[in-house]
Amino acid sequence: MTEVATGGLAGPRMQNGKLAMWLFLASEIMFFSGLIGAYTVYRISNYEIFNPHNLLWPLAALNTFILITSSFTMVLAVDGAQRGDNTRVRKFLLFTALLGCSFVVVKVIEYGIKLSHGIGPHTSIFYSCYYGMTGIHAIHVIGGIVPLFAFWHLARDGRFTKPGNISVEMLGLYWHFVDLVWIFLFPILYLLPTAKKIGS
Amino acid sequence: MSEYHDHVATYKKIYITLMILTAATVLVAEVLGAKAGVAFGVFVGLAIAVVKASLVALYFMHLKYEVKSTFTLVAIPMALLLLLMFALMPDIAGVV
Repeated sequence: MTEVATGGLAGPRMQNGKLAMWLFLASEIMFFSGLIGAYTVYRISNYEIFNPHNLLWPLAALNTFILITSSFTMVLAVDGAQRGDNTRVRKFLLFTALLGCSFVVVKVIEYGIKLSHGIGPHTSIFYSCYYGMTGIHAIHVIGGIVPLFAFWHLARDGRFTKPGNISVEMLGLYWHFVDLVWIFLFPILYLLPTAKKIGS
Repeated sequence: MSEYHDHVATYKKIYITLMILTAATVLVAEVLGAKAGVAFGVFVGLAIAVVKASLVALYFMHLKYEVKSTFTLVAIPMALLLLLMFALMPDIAGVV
C-alpha cells in the first residue's frame, strides 16, 4: 500500500478525493434527513391524507430494481478500474448510465399518470411531499447520469485504469448513495401503512 | 493504491440479497401489512430498509474494506440524524 505522506499520523490514510466525497455525502445525509423529518411530522399529523395506496407502488418497485441493478453495474465498473480492465470500465459505466436513464423515464411516466389525473404538488400536503422528495431524488439521479456518460466518454484513453486513479470509485460512492436514499424513500412513500386505512 | 482484491463474487451475493429484500418489503407491505397492523408494518418496512442500506454502504461503498476513520465521517451525520429525530418529538407528541 503506497499512501501519500501520512502527516505524522500512524496507519493508512484515506485518499483526498474519497475523503471529500464522503464529506459531501455526510452533508447529503443531513439534507435528506431534513426532508424525511419534515415528512414524518406532516404524515403523523395528517394521517388521513397520507395514504401510500394513492401512489403507484409497482412503478416504484420497478424503479427500485432498476436502481439496485445500476448499483451492481457501478460496482463492476469500479472493479474494472481497479483491475485495470478498461473495456470493463467503459461497458459498465454505460450500463449504469442507461439504467439511470430508465429510472428517470419510469419516474416521468409515473408523474405523467398522476398529472393526467389532475394530481400535482398543489393537491395536498401529501403530494407536496411526494413530488418534493421524489423530485429532489430524481435530480440527484440526473446529477449522476451526466458524469456517468462523461466518464464513459473520457474513459476511451484509459485514464481511469491508471494506478492510483480513484475517479470511478468516487463517482461510484455518489451513485450508491443515490441508490441508498431511494432504498429509504421507496418504503417511506409508497409502502408503509398509515394509522388508519382510508377508502382504499 | 491498494492491491487488487477480487470482490465480484461478494457483489453478486449482495445484489441477489438486495433483490430478495426488495421483494420481501413489497410482500410485507402489500400482503402481511394489511393484517398485521400499522406498527408492525412500519417497523418491518424500516428494518428491511436499514438492512439494505447497510449492505449497500458496507459492500458496494466499500465501507467494510475502508480505512477505519471513514466510519467517523459516517457516524457524525448519523448522530445528528438521531438528534433531529429527538428534536421532532415535541411536534409529534401532541398528535400520537
